[in-house]
Amino acid sequence: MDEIKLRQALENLPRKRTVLLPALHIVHKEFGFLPEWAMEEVGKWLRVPKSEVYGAATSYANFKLHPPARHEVKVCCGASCWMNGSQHLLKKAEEHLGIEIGERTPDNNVELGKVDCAFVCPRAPVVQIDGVTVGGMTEDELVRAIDALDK
Amino acid sequence: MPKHPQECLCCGIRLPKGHRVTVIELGDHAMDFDTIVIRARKQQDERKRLGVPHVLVATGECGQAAGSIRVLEAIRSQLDRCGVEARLIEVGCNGMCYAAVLVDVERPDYPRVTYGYITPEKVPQLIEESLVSGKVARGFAIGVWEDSPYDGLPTISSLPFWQGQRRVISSNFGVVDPHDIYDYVTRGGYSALSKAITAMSPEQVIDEIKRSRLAGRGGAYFPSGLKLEGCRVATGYPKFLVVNAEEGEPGVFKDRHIMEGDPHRLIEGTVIAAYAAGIERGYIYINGEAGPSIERVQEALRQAEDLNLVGENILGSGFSFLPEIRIGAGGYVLGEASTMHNSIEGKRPLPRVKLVRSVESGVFDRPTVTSNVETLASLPTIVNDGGDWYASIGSQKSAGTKLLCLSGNILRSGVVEAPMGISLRDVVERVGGGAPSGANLKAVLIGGPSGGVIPASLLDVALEEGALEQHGAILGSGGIVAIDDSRCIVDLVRLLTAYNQQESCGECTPCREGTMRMLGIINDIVVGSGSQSDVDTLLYLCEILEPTSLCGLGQGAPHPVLSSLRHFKAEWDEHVVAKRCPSSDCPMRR
Repeated sequence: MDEIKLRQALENLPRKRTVLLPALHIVHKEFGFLPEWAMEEVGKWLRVPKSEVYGAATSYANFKLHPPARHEVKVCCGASCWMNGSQHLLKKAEEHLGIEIGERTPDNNVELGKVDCAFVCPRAPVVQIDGVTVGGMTEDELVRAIDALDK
Repeated sequence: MPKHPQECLCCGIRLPKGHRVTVIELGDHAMDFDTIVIRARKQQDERKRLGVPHVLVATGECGQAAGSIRVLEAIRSQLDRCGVEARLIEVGCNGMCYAAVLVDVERPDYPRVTYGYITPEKVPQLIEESLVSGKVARGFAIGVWEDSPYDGLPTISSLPFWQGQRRVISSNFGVVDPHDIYDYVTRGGYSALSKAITAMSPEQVIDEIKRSRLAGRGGAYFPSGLKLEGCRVATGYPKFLVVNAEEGEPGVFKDRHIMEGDPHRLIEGTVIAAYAAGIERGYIYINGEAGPSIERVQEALRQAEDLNLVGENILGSGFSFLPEIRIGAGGYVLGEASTMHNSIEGKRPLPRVKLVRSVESGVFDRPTVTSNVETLASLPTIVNDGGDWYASIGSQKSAGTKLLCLSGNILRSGVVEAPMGISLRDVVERVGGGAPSGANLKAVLIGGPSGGVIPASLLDVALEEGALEQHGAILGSGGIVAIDDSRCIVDLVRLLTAYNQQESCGECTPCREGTMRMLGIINDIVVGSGSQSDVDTLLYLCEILEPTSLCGLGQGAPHPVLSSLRHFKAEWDEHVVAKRCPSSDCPMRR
């Protein structure tokens, strides 16, 4: 999506500040993160200063400000999953990928992270792989799932 | 008044060319509830006549995490392969999340049976035995939805998970088709809305809600009748209703169950609240990651709008309510009402200093009611069955029922609806079955990251407003996490404090600085580098945060620390003094 297409998408929205979050969703859905130039376009259309667009964008935990890695593996570290051994899953993932939580593999293929809750606590322990939530995860299954991620 | 309008001004249907419209005729084009009921009954009768069996698969988020989509596809292909005609319906989970993937089969000649733990591999046998060569697949059956045992199968209500439960607002979970408004109407849906709007005044509706003693189910327990009345009498236009469907607290998933399982109940309750409070505009603010909830609420809203149950001139009454759906983008603090208001306005999602209550000045400084999903979903039954009836359920302190979320080290996890006042022990041990075999229950975390840790010996406490504070915990939104004796309490408190510190929005100094210092101290203690004076500092910080934090996040952050220091002092001492921890899960070992 380039500048023109983005502006076309935004033009469906009223030029009011109230739709700032919906506008950011449109950008994030298209790019997988919020590029600075796109945030500026949003600010221009909604007549919101770009500093305030940035301030809002950085306050929402789900928005990324940098291009994501090709794949994302997130281990749930909420209390229910922690009680069901998710820290061992995290350790295993770190070991298998050779990186620590918050990092990405040198080939930019996999980023390892956490979620604080996937809201499917009865299925603990839970891992999200490329946005898909998988419950009842075991260390072996996690290793298999990571290996199955294409390059 | 236009002489030849193209569309009816109230419901938008195209008018025949040359049609002359009068004000009275405009009213005639509005939908009336009887017509909706007739249509719903027609659909139901037609389905009964055709006698096609129904296969219901629970495909909410918890079901999906257990593989329900693959089960759904396996069933679809199996039905094709066998040439069996059946209606495949995606429903919500009935609360027995521990038994996912849940599949129900409804035959015209056999009561509805719930099958559990279904995998794609089990599907051929399931279909064969329940639809092709027989009527029931005994090996997978959990129970039958009848008043007494049938054909050797136990009733669902006799199962341990259902002991003590009282299904009032969750009665449709797992059985109603969330994508079919007429199915909801067949089960009495929207009759409360029709009754409220056509036969009651807004003041009468508020009165009924006051009599019910319903209190906010998001965790604040503010009296709902009072809140709606406060908005009704406030000055300002337009007024707003914000449906708080953000559900961002770890360990809580009940609102998702409502939105996935019975979204029309939420819509109905929302319109009733708007009518009572004199509100015309609204926002249904849904957590950005709750995919099935978003999809089902969007669809339900569209269907309700099509039938004139939401929107302009509802059921020809003259009352209009126009809600918009907004999708969140994460952050625990987003679930706090004033933060949500800021987000709706396009500002940074931070809490506001509440110099004026938001019923008087909320979204765009207009009178605003912000209500939790569960609270609004309780309104249809209060309008239909009466406030007195609702108040007769529960306890003296708290009326009605509460949806509770069980998880952690527990045999049966899921969503439970129980009368207020039920004991925590009954919920955790009877309904939940206690810790899985081989483990012993040590403690229960109730109230999430703002809650407290209660030892197994003190579980005989009633789940109602104000009753858990004596133990240093809160009922909150109903999240209950069981902890067995292999876990380290201090490490759990570290986890919860880290969460609070991470989620602190940063606006107020006590919370921003306080949670960071608390975390620093706890991190040291957990690995054995802490001292008694660190614990004293920790206590001092807790003392400051509660009265001085701007919102519930900071106010609640001390609870896990204080409650665990009180009830599990020995574990803290092990870390502080002995510098050891018996648990294999504790960072101390590393």
